[in-house]
Amino acid sequence: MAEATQHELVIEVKNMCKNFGPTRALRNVDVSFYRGQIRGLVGENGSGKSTITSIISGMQKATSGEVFYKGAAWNPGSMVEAQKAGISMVLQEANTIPDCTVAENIFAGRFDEFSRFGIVNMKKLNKAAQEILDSFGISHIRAADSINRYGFEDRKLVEIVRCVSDDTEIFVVDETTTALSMEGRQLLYKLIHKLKDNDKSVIFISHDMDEILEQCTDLTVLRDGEIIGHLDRSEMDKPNAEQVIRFMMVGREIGDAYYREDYDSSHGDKVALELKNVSLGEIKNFSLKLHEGEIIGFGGLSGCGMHEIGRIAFGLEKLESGSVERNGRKIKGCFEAIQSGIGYVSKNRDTEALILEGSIQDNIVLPSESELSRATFISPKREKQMADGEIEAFRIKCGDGRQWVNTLSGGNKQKVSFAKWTAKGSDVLIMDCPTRGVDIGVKQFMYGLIADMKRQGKSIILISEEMAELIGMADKIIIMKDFAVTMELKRDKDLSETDIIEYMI
Amino acid sequence: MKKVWKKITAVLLAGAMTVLASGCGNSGGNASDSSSASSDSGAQTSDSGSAPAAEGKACTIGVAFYTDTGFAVDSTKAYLESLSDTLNVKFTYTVLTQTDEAANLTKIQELISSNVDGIICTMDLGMTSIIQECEAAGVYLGGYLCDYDTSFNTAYDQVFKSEYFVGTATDGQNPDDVTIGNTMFESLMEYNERNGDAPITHVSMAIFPTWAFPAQQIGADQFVAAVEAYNETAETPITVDPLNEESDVLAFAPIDTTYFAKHADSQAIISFAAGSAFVYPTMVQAGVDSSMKLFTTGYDGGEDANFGTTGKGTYQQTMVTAVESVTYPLVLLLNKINGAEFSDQPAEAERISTAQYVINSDEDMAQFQKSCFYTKDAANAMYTPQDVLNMTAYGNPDATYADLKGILSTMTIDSIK
Amino acid sequence: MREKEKVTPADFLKQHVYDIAAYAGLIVTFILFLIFSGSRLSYNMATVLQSASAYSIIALGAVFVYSMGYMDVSVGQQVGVYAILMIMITNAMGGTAAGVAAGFLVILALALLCGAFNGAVAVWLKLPSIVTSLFLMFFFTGAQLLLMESTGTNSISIQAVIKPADRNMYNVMLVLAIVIVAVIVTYFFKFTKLGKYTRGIGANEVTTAQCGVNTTKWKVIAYMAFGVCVAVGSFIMLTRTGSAGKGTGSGYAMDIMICLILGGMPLSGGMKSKVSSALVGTFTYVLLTNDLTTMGVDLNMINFVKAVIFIAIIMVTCRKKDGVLPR
Repeated sequence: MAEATQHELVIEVKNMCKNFGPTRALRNVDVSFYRGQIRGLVGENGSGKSTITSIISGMQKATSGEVFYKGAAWNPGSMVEAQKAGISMVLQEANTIPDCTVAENIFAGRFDEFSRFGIVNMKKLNKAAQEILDSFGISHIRAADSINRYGFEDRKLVEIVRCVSDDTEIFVVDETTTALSMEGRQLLYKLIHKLKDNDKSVIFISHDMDEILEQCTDLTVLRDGEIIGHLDRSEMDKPNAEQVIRFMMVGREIGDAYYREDYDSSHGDKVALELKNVSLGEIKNFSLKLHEGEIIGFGGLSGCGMHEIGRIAFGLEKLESGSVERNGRKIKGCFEAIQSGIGYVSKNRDTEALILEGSIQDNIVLPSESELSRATFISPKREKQMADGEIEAFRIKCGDGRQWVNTLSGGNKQKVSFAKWTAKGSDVLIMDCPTRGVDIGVKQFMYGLIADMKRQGKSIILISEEMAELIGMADKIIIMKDFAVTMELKRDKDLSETDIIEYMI
Repeated sequence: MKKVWKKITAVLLAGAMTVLASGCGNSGGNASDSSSASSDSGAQTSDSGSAPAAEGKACTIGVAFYTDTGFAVDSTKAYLESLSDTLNVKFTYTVLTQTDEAANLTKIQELISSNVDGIICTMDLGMTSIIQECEAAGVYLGGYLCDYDTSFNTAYDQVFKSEYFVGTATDGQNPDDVTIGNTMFESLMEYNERNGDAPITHVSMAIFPTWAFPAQQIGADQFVAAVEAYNETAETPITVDPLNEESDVLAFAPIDTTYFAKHADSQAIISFAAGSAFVYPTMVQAGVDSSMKLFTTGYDGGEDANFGTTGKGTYQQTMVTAVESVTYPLVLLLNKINGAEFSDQPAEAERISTAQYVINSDEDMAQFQKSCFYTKDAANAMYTPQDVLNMTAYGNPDATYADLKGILSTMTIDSIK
Repeated sequence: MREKEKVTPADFLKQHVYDIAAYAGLIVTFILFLIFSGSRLSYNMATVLQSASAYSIIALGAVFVYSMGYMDVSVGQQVGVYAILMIMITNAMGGTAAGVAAGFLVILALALLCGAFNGAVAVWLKLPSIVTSLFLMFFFTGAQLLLMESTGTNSISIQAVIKPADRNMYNVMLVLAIVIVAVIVTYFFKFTKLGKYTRGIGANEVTTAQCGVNTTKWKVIAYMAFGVCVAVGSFIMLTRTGSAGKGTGSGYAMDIMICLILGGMPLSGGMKSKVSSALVGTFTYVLLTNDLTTMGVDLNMINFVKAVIFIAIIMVTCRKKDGVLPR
C-alpha cells in the first residue's frame, strides 16, 4: 500500500458490524478510503459491499463500530445529510421522481436557489440544469422535458448528475453500470476519473470484473461480511489478477467450467413456442421458432427491442398483429402462457418478478396455487414441501421458507424467481437478464441449471446484455438492433464478442 | 433498535394520555360547577351512609343529550351538578345521534355498563330496544326536552307502559296541547303595540319537518288562525305568507337565501324552528337582519346582543324551556331508585308539557339574564337542591305527583328570581 | 454461521411489532374492562358482544379488501340502506319469516352487486378503489335519504321477530354468527386461492399478475366476499334494534378501518394481512370505547383520546420505505 500513503485519508471505517435480524452482514470490518483513489469493492452477493457504502452514506446505521470522516466521527442521519456533507451515492434501483421535469429532478430539494417569494423561476432552473447536463456531456437529455420521456438508462444519468456537484468529496457508485449502455458507462468512467484527478474519492461497486480491473486504482475484496484483502494497481495488473480476485471472493477455485462446455447445438424437432409475424410498436413482423431443448439467446444494446420480445413471448403485451402460439394454442395473456407451461424471469426482479415483502415460500408457490388446490383447499403442508424442495435444489441461502425475500441477497432473490417456474414445472422459460447483478458463484449455478434444463428437453429464451453469457450458453444467438434482427449466429466455440458487437452498434 | 423504542414510547405515551384524560375527564366534568366533587366523589358517596335517610341512597344517573354543546346542555349540566351532593346522585353524560338507532342503543348500553341506576334521555330514537335494555339491566329511564311522539303513537305499550319508563317532560308543548302559535301571535301583538308608528303587517313562517316536530305544524296553523281572527276586526290587517314546502320547511339545514326573495314583502319571520341556528345566520348573510324581525324559539347564546331594542333588534321573541324542568324525570327516577312512590302516581307514564320562558321584550330579556339557564349558575335556580329533595316521595312524605306536575307549569319568565 | 440461530429479544420485538402492539392493546383494554366494569361485568360483556358483532363480521369481510391494499368507504351507507330495505321488504310481506328471508336475499344480491361494481369498475377505469367506493358512498347516502323520505319518518321498525326474546339466547346467536363467519373467512383467507391472491395483489400486483393470476377476477371476487359479510353484518346490526333510519350505519366505514388498523392490519395490505386483525381490532375498539365510558372519561375527551391512541398505533405499525431519498 505504498501508494496510499501519498494520499490523504478521507473516510475510515473501524471495527464495523451490521446485523440484519439473525444475519450478520458485516463483521468487524476495517477499511479506509483515500483521496485521489477509485477503490473498487468486490465480493459475492451478500458479502457486505453495499452495506458498507449504505452506512457511510446515511441510508442505515451500523450495529456497532465507528466511521471517521475527515478526521471526525461520522454518523449521518439520512442520505440528505450525507449528501450535504459531500458523500453522494448512486443506487442500483431507479431513484428519480416520476412526472417531473429533468431539471426539477436535478434540483430536487434545492428550489430555494431559484425561487423568489416562493415562486420558482423555471426558466432559470431549466437553464442551470441544462448547463450541468452539458458539462457532463449528456446534452441529448433536455432539462425542460418530463423525466417520463426518458428510459431507465437516461434516468440513471440524470440521477448521477443530481448526485455529483462541486462539493462532492466521496462518490459511491453501487452497481450502477449494469443499468447503463456502453455509452453511459463511458460517461460514468470519465466522470469518476475526473473526480479522482480532482483529489476526490470514488467507491466503485460492480460485478463486472473487466470493468473493475480497468477502472479502479485500488481494490478491496469482501466475503461473508469480512474483508479478505486489498489490492493496489500493481497487483491488479498482474496477468492472473482475475483468478486471484475470484478465489478471494469465493474462497475456492471457480475453475473454467463456467458456461456450457459442449458445443452441441442440436435440439428437438418439435416447436415449443412460436412467434408468428408479431408486430408491436416498432417491432414489425417478427417471427421466431423455439424448439424443444433449444436455447435461443437474444443480444443487443438496451433499447434494441429484445426485452420486448421476451414480454411478447410471455403474453404480457397486447399485439397489434400476429400471434404467439404454443402447441397450436394461441397465447393471449400471461395467464394462458403460464397454463401452457411458459415461465418468465423478468429483468425487473424486484418490481416484477418477486413479492419482496413476502416469504420465499409465498413467492415460490404463487404460480402453482391452482395445482396445489384441491376443491378450493390448499394444504399448507404441500406448499411447504414444494417450497422446501426448491430451496434445497437451488441452495437458497436462508433460514427457512418463511424468511422474507427482501432480506435475501441479489443472487438468492434471483434463485427464488427461477424456482417459481421450476416448481411449476414450466417447459419453456423466458429469461430476461437472468444474471444481472448476480455474483459469479450464483452465475455458475444458474448456467449449470440452464444447461440441465436443455438436457431435459426444456426450451429457453435467454435475453442478455452480456455477450460472454450468450456465447457461452445459447444454441443460437439472435442479435437485434433498432427493433429488428441484424444477425443470427449458430453456437460456435470460435465465436468472439467482437463478432457480435459489430451487429449491435 | 432505536425505531422499536420509538414505537414503544408512542404506545406508552398513548397509554399515559388515556389515563390522564380519564383523570381530566373526571375533574373537568365536575369543575364546571362548584369544584365540589372531584375525582374522589366515589369516596363521598360511600361516606353518605351516615347522612339522613331522607337524602336517599347513593346512585348514578346517566344523562343522554342530543348534542354535546350549547346553552341548554351546559346549563342543565350545571343545574344537575348542583343537585349532586344533596340528592346523593352522581351524573354521567353521553351524546346520542339524531339518526342512528343502533348507535344510540350502544350509547345507552355504555351508560348502563358504567353502572348507572337511571337514565335521562333527550331523544326518542330506537326507544323500543333501549327500553328492553333498561328492563334487562333494571335501569329506569326518563325523558326530558322530548315529547316521545313516535313512541307515544307507535310503541305506547312497549315504552309508556313499561315499568322502567317514568315519563317525560316535553320541550314546550305536546302535539296534543299546543299553544305556541298563540304565543307567537301575542308577541307579535305586543310588538305592534310598542311600535304603533311602524307595526309589522306582513309575516312569513319557518318550521321543521312534521315527521320530526309535529307540534310546529300545529303551531303554525294556530298562528294563522289567530291572525285571521284578528284581521276580521283589525284596522291594519296582517298578511301571513302560507308555508312554502320548498323554502319554509327546514330539513335541519339553515334556510336558504331564496327565502327572502320568496317572501319579499315579509317584515318578520315567525320561526317555529330554532331560529338562532337555522334562520338568523342566513338573515345576516342576506343583510336583512336590521330590516326584518325574528320571532322564534330557543337560546344558543348571543341573541341578547340584537334583542328587542338592543343592537340591530332582530330578535323580538324567543322561548326557552327552564332547565329546572329536568326535575320532573329526575324526581320520578329517584323515587323508583329509592323504592318510593307518590300516593297519586298514575298507572302509566305520562308526557307533560312544560311552561316556557316567553321572552318578547327588553324587560323579559333582563329578567331572563338572571336565570339559571342564562347564567349557567345553579345559585340562580328557581328550585334549590333542598326544594328538589322535597319534591321526592321519599324526601317528603307529603309530596305528590300533582305537585310535581304543577311545578312544571310554574316555570315562566316571571318566576325567575 | 452459528450466529444465525441467535435471535435477540430486540429482533423478535422488531419482527413482531405489529402483533405485539395489537394484542397488547386488546389485553390492556380487556384488563381495564374487567377493572372498571365492576358489578355489571356480565351485562357489560353482553353489550360489548352486541356492539362488536356487526363490526366484527363486516371487518372480517373487509380483510379481503384491505389485504389487497384497497379500502372501502361506502360500507356505512350500504349497511344503512340494506337495513332499511330489509325492514321495508319484510314489512311489505307482512312481517313473515318468508319476508325476512326475501329481504335478506335482496340485500345479499345488492351487496354482491356492489362488490362486483367496486372491484370491476376500479379495474376497468383504472381508478383507485377509494374513488369507486366514494361514488357508492354518495349513491347510497342519497338512496338512504330517499328511502327514509318516502316513509315520512326518521325511523322505521321491522314488524317481524328477528331475534330471540331471551337475551342469553341472543348473545349465543351473536357468538355463533361471529364464530361461523370467522371460520369461513379464515378458511378462504388462509387456505384457498382467494386469500393467497388478495395478499399477493396487495404485496405486488405486477408480480401476482405475472404468476398467472387474473387479478381483475380475483379483485371482484374479493369485493364480493366482502359484500356477503356486509349483508350478514347489516342483518346482525338490524337484529339489535329492529329499526333503521337516516343515520343508520353512518361512520361504519371509518370504524371498520380503525378496527382493522388497531388489529394490526397494514393499510398497504400484502402478506402481513391477517384475519385475526379483524377480531382483535374490533374487540379492542369496542372495549376501548366501553372502557373510556365506564372510566368516566369526559365525552369531549373520548374522541380525542381515541385519536391519540390511533396515531400511536399508526406510528407503531407504519412501515418506512427504507433506503430511499426522502421525497
